[in-house]
Amino acid sequence: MRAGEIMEVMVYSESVKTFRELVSVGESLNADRVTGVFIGEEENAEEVRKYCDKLFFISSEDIGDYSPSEYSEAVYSAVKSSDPQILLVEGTAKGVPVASMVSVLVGEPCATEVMELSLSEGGLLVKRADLGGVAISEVKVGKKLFDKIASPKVVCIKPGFYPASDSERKGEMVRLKPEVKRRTEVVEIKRKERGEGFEDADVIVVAGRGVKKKEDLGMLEELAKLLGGVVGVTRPLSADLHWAPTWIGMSGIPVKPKLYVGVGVSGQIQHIAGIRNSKVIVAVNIDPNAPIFEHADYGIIGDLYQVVPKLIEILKE
Amino acid sequence: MEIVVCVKQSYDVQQIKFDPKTKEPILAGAPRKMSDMDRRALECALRIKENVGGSVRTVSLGTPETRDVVKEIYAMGADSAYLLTDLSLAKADPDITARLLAEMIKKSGDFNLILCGSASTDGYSWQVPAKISKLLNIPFLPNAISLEVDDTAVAECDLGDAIYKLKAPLPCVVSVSLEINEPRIPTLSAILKASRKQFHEFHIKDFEVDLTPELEVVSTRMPEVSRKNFMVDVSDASKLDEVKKVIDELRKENVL
Repeated sequence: MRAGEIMEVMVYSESVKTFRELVSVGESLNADRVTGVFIGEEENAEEVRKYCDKLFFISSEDIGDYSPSEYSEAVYSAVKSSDPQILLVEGTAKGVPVASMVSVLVGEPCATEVMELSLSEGGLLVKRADLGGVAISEVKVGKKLFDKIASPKVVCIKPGFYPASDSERKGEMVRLKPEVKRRTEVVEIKRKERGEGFEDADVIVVAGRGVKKKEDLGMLEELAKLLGGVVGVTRPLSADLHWAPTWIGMSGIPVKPKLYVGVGVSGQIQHIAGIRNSKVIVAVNIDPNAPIFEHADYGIIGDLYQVVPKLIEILKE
Repeated sequence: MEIVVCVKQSYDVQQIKFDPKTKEPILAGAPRKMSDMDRRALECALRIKENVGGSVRTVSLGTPETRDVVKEIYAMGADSAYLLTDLSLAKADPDITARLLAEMIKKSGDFNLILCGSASTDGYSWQVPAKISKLLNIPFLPNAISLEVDDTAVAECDLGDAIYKLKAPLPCVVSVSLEINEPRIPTLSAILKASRKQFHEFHIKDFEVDLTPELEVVSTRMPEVSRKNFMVDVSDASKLDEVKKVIDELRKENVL
């Protein structure tokens, strides 16, 4: 093995799309092999198998539904069945606990909230959101890449930062049946309503606390429709008022549309962190000192209940 | 029920200023506060104790500024607070933090339940609770938005695409999300009483944990995205037609 050369990157995700994004990360490191771990249904495993050189498949029929303690043991069994130097995991509420635990099992560091990954002097360098998303840190992960066998450094990549890989590797599928002692019981799974597909939207209109009633979202829906986009909300409107199942922001769904329109959004720091990569940011707010204006290309100081109908009127002309 | 809560004194990220030249955060003397989700973990522990009895103790580690959090821990109603402070902990990564906290939890007594915030307000790694559970070899319920405890723990966990209701035997680790509760505001008399209470102090030499971080922060900067900051003021409704300027600009940019 030569320094700086990656023999194997292993990826783990429950979602086909994120799995393909992680394969892209492996490809960007010029890894000789990109292997994968998939826990779930065989049908989905057949789909992700196309994108990696070898897939370790663990059926949810054998191991049960998601629980981090048990799934980390399962991923660890795949790591031990191969020899990855890097394990890439989806940077989500389900992925991060699994990654953290696997990192304890393999005795290697884990980096989370990662948006970019590169090799530098034979080591791993990541860019991650820091200070709750206000800042971006460059972090060196471990000292050397190749010190032990089957001890990968673990990196959680946030979804949406890499393109989905199209490479057709069509690797073999190896079914693992790890002996995992089940201690956590999944009593119930309540699927959330599917969000509006914010990740792919070109235009997102976001309602903030300045919007007084849930019914007023209708006005924003009309604006979004004219702009060819969808409507999202900020954290308090979702988490506290339950107007929507998910929210836009660092702790919810980070987005990077071509056009972001914040209506009555003050610009709480974690929200800004989650929209920062938008191409153009427009903000409507009654408060001239609202922090969002510092981050906006176009700021409209005014009453949203006058401004939004006016925007709709102009766009309809 | 013996409950341990991990509490961090975080930077108050809302108030962090950046050096306009270097774009680096000015952290020396920056304001700190009890980490948002840890405060909810403590509230959650106090409510469980009020229901079923037992005790609530906290474990905290960090630089010497961490001591400032103790008064608030006691004012909210914790029975005891354990602290490990050392200048060298400024560079502690999530792994070192989890290893030290796991040791502090064991050294400070028996436990049935360990509660943590899902992530700290500043470091935001989301790793520490999961790692503590693995190091102690007990189950982990992440991102709880509700929690009921008797001889088992049952939590509704917000896992992004779904709410999972997970059940685990005690002892276990539960990390809590911001939505789990609204933390109490301590009364003035509780605050006054709290300032007289002592904390239990650990020393770094009491622990056999390698303090060399595997995650080394090379630089931290405010991301630079330059924005046009083109403003129109239509707070006077007679000027409302001026919003058209924004539409015109967006059309010029081919955004519309």
